[in-house]
Amino acid sequence: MSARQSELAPDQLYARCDPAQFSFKTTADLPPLTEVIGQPRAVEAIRFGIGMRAQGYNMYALGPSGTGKATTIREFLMREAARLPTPPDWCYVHNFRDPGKPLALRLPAGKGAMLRQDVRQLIEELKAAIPAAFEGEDFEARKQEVEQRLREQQEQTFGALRRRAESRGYAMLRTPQGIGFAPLVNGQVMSPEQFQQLPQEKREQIESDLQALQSELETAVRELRQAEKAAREEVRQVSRQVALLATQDRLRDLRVKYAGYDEVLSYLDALQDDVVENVGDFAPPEQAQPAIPALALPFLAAREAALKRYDVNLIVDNSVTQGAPIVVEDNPILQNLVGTIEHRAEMGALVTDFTLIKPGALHRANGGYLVVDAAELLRKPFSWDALKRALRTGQITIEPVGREYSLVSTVTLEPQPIPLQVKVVLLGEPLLYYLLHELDPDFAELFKVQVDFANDVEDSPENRALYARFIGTVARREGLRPFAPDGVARVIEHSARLTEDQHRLSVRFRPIVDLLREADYWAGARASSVVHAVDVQRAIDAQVYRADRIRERIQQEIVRGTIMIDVRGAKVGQVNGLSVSSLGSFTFGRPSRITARTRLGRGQLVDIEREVALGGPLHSKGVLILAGYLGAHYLPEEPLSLSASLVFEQSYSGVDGDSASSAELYALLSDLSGVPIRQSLAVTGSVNQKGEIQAIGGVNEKVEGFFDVCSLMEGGLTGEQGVVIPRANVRHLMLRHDVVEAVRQGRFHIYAVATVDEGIEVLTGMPAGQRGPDGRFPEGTVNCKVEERLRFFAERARRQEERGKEGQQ
Amino acid sequence: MSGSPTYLATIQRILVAVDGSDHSLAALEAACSLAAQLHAEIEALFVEDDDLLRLAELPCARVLSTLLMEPERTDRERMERLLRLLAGRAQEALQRHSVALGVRARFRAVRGRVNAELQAAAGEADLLSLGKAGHGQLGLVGPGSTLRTALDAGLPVLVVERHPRVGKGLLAAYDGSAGSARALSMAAQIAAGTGQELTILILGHAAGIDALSREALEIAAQHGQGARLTFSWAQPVVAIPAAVRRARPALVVLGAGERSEDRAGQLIKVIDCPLLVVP
Repeated sequence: MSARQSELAPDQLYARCDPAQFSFKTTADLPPLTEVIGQPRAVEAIRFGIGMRAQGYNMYALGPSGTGKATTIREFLMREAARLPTPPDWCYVHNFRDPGKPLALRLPAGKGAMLRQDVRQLIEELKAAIPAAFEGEDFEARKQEVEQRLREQQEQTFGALRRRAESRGYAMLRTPQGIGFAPLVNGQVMSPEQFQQLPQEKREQIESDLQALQSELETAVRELRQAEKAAREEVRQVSRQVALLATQDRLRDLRVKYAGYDEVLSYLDALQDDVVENVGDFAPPEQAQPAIPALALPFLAAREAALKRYDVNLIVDNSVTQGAPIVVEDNPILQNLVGTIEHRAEMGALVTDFTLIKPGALHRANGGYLVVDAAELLRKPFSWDALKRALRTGQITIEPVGREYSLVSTVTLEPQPIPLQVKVVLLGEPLLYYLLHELDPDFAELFKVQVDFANDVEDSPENRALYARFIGTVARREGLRPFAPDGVARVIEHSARLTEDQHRLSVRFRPIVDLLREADYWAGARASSVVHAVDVQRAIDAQVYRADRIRERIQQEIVRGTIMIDVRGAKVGQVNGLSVSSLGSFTFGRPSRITARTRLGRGQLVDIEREVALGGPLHSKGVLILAGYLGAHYLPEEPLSLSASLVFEQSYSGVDGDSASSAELYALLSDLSGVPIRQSLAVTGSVNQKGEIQAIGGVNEKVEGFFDVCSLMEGGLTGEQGVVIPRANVRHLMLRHDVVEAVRQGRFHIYAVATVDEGIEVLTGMPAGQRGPDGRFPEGTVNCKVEERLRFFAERARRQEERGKEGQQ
Repeated sequence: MSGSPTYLATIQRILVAVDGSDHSLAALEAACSLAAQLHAEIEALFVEDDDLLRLAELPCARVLSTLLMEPERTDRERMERLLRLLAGRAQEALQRHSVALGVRARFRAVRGRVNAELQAAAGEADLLSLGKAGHGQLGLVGPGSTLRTALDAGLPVLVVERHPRVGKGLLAAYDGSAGSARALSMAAQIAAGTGQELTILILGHAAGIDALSREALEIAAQHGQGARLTFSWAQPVVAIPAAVRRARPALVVLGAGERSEDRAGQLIKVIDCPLLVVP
């Protein structure tokens, strides 16, 4: 095939979108887009995931960033959520039986806030009602009656004992140790001397009397203590009854209001019992304050803290929620996900109670949907495990991390777990999905629905119309100028360029939306009320200009000869390869000189890049394929007696990919045949062992990279220059307008080849040559020269081997 | 603080009987507070009771510990140590309160019989302050004998319990008797001297209420003091505690009346704020 036959026409280099196909004046005329473009598989999966109520049918939306995963998922969820019932409220309340394990109460949406308000009001009322009940004359009189009775009993008992002692000549004395008896003489306690002077009998009598009095005293004291205890109990009983009456009255209405909510009624019962048992907590501050004023403030704070146990911690308030909740958790740290138990410092210690239980996203999303970014979730320590545990057990358990790992030894709580019914949607990259599937056995069980978002969509008239509506919708939503048909067409062309396919459109909308915004900016800069193609092009050019400093520098170095690239003439064993570099979001192509050197050898192909560890595995694979091609294509019956080395000249960093393998083969064939290669051409494409040229990536950037270098070199484009690409890549061409224009004018050429033979003909201008019936390549062809050279090597090798054998003999 | 010269002339020296018990320490604090308001001085008297030391020396003596509820042997050395401990506690409390309130005070410990020593010391005092009860939890013995001794000696007695209720103003009861008039007069003097409100509880039958009220207001007015009146027809032992509960005064002032110790003794038991009994 001649070079002319391989050359592509200008209209093969770019799939133009004709603005005339659009009937609107601007996108403002178009109805808003309500459907999703080009994601039928994902949409179907979302519908299925939402509809499946069984456990484990949570969703993982996988797709590259910018494909609208979050937006699409949210829109579907919102539609579905509106049809679902509003989930209940959840409160944590004090567990009066086991304060370390707060109780969870479930109430219909809106009733949680109501209960909290009702209980607060109840406690406020009790703060006034209970002291009032105890300050009443009746209670005080009853209490005094009991106390008076006790006092009288004490006085009678001790009075009688004292009188009995005095009647026998003894005094009853109160001492710092207790109560004692002593014999009296003339109204005074007998001195030891007086006691010693008494006759033995008298002394024994005194001792006996004292012993008896002591016994009586012990009995009396014991009885009085019993009486005191009984009196205290009687007062307490009366207090309980008074408190119960004061509390019951006020709780009656609440019991009626919350009839039917058994958990709430049980809680109110327990609350009533606790109030009655701890009625002292409701004493008015002036009664309860300590005598020392400095202690008054902490005391009041302690009193308020004690009454805090009657508070209701409303952790989920759905009073204003319509339908099921949709919670998007952007920062899924453990505490934000499953909630936490906070602590406060009190007298140097960390303490907590049920009012410090804070809800997490799972609480808020309970009964609805939770959307989380998978990468974020996996990055946060403990969050992934906590989420899985919650989904597996079907309940939310708030457990501080510190306790699980014994990091903190402070007192904490074990709140009652809350039943969980939630649909979780993870958003993430496909790689993460496959890794999780592979490495975490729980993942497949818990996330059964794969929502796979596509990168691109077929470029059809229907999809172009949808694209136009999408542009109009974004313009309307973001307050951008409307787009004219030519503007829309240019955006669609750029979309195809992003997919590297003339017949596909990108549905990664983030870069498209960025382009729309920037085009609007440039339209504004030239005071246009509508965005035209010129504005879109300006935006594209500006994006490139902002990012291409490094590319420009490399091109300058090529022009200055620092990086050696020939774009004219012909040379043996040297070809211009093409590579692609990515710097952030900007990708550009550049030529690299590839050279080959051959000599007699044992069939080794030395890839210098690999030898110095600059070549990646794919590159090495491409080079090794060359040996296979040479062995099979030339002198198949002879051993390959060749030693060849291949190198990317002036490469100072890693090279990978096999897209240069055809260029390397051309350099090799040129060196073997001695036929020079046109340096005005650059080559890209990988090759297989059969000599077929295979498609590569980044074809547009590669072509443009060589075009730019040729344009910048002294004398500019000569009309000889061009690029040889694989035929399989023709459908991927979406070249810049200036490149297409240069081709149209014959100043630049794009050749598409399918085989090595086609390529070598374009590059050398010499026929490749097909093996004739005699099994030989025709004279004057590249293949013939290559085979002759290899035959020469083979014969020399054979002779050397024979001489070697003779020498040995 | 502004003070009435008449009143300042009336109470210049307050004697506090301290035995180291919580009640007596509360009496000491209340006395210091009153002394600060009246520019009076304090004498705290601790009596090492002869009878207790003798009891401790007797070989046959036993003491029933009210803490452990079992008989304990005692001896003079231990008794003296305990008494020193209690005296030190009282002295330290006096030092603390007097310095804090800027009151002139002195502490004296003597050995002898309690009533005799108090009687001797009371001769130079204008008011005696006592704790409601002595040591122990059983409330065995009220201030009966000491109170009787002081009142008989014509000395007003301030009785304070361990944890007195905190209140405001003064409450005095007036029933037309000479004793209640003296008590009202003293209450009015203290109220005027300290700038506190005075509430007078008129005790009597309906027919005599107006006259009693007029008399009471006149007595208060003699000291430049106005008053709020409340009324009760009930017996004093019922009416006074009820009025105390309602008014929540800082100090209740009562006349001892005939058989003073009986009525005062009963009221002391049920009133939980400082009580000044005027003979």
